[in-house]
Amino acid sequence: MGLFDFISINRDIARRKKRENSQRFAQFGKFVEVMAHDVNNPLMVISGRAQLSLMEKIDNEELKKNLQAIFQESQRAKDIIQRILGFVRPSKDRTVRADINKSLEGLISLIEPQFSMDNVKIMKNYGVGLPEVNIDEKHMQDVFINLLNNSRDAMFKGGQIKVSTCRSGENVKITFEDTGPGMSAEVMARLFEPFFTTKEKRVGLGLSVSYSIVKAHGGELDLKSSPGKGTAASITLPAMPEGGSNA
Amino acid sequence: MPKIMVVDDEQEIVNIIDVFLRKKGFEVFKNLEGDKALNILKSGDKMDLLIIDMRMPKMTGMDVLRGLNDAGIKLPVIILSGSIGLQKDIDELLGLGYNEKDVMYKPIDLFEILAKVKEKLGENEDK
Repeated sequence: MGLFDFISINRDIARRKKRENSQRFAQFGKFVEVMAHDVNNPLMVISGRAQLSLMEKIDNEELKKNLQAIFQESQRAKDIIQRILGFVRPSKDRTVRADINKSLEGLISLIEPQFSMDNVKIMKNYGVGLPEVNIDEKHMQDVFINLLNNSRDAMFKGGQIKVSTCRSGENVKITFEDTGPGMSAEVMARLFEPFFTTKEKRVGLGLSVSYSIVKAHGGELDLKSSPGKGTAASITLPAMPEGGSNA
Repeated sequence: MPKIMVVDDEQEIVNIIDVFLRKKGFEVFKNLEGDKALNILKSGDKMDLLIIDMRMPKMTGMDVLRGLNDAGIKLPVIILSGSIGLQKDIDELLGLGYNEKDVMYKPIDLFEILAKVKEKLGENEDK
C-alpha cells in the first residue's frame, strides 16, 4: 500500500465516522423530543391534579406539604427536560457573540480550585486576537465542563489538562489535552453513543449531549486518544465575521 | 361569561384545564379531536379563546390553525406543547399570525394558563 492509498483510507474512515456521528445526533434529537412529549403529558396531569387539590380547603398540613412537593417537583422535572431539549435545539434567542477565551476563563477560574485539590493542573494557552463566536454560552460551558470533568476523572492520580484556543481557517478551535491513560480503539468507537459509559454511576449522556450542542452550533467535536498517550478533545466553532450583528 | 374551547387528545389534561377554568368563572367546551373542534368552530359556534395541543393524532393543532386561517376565522389562541417547537412549526405559526409567546410548554402551572387566558381575552377585548 502506498502513502496516498493510506491517506485516502484514513479520509474515508474519518468521513464515515462523521456521517455516523451526525446520524446519532439526529437520532438523539428525535429521541429527546419524543421522550419530552411522552413524559411531559403525564407530568402535566400530576402537577395539575396537585394544583387542583391545593385549591380545596385542606386542614391537614402534612397533606398540603405533600401536594406542594408533588407540584414543585413536577415543575423541576419540566425544567430538566426543557434543558435537555435546549441542548439539541438551542434557541436563537440565547445565542450571543462571545470571546471564547473569556468564556473559558470564566469557567476555569471557578473550577480550578477543585481540580487543584484533585491534583489536576490546568494549563492555559489562549490564542490572541481570535474572532468572536456565536454561542449559547451556558450550553457551551456545559460542553467545556463535561470535557474537563472527563479528563479529571480519567486522571485519578492527578495530571495536567492543557486548554488552548486558536484560529483554524474560518473557525475558532478549542482543544483540551490531558495526560491521562488514554482510551482503546474499542472505547473510542462507542464514545458518542447515548448511554455508553465506562464509569460507574454515570448515565453516559455527557459526550452525546456535548456532541449535540456543538453540532447545533454548526461546529464539530473530535476526540483523539490512544492507550498511554492521553486524550485530546477539540471543538471547532464557526468564527463570526468582524463587526457582524448578533443574530 | 367568556367561552373557551380546550382541545387535547389527552383526556386527563382536558379535564384538569376544564375543572380549573370553570372554577375561575369561564365556560369551557372540551374536545379530544382536532377535526371535530375545527368543524364546531367553522360551524359558527363562536368561542372567545381556543386552547389547543400541538401534537395530536389525525389532525394536529397546526392543522386546526391552518383550517381556521383558510376559513377566515380569527380568534385568540393558546398553543400547548409537550415538546419544544421545531423551527419550521414556529415559522408557520408566525406566518398564520400567531406568536412564539402563544406557545406554552407542558407541564404548565395552571395559574400561568389563567394569566395567559386573561391576557389573551384582554387582547381580544381591545381589538
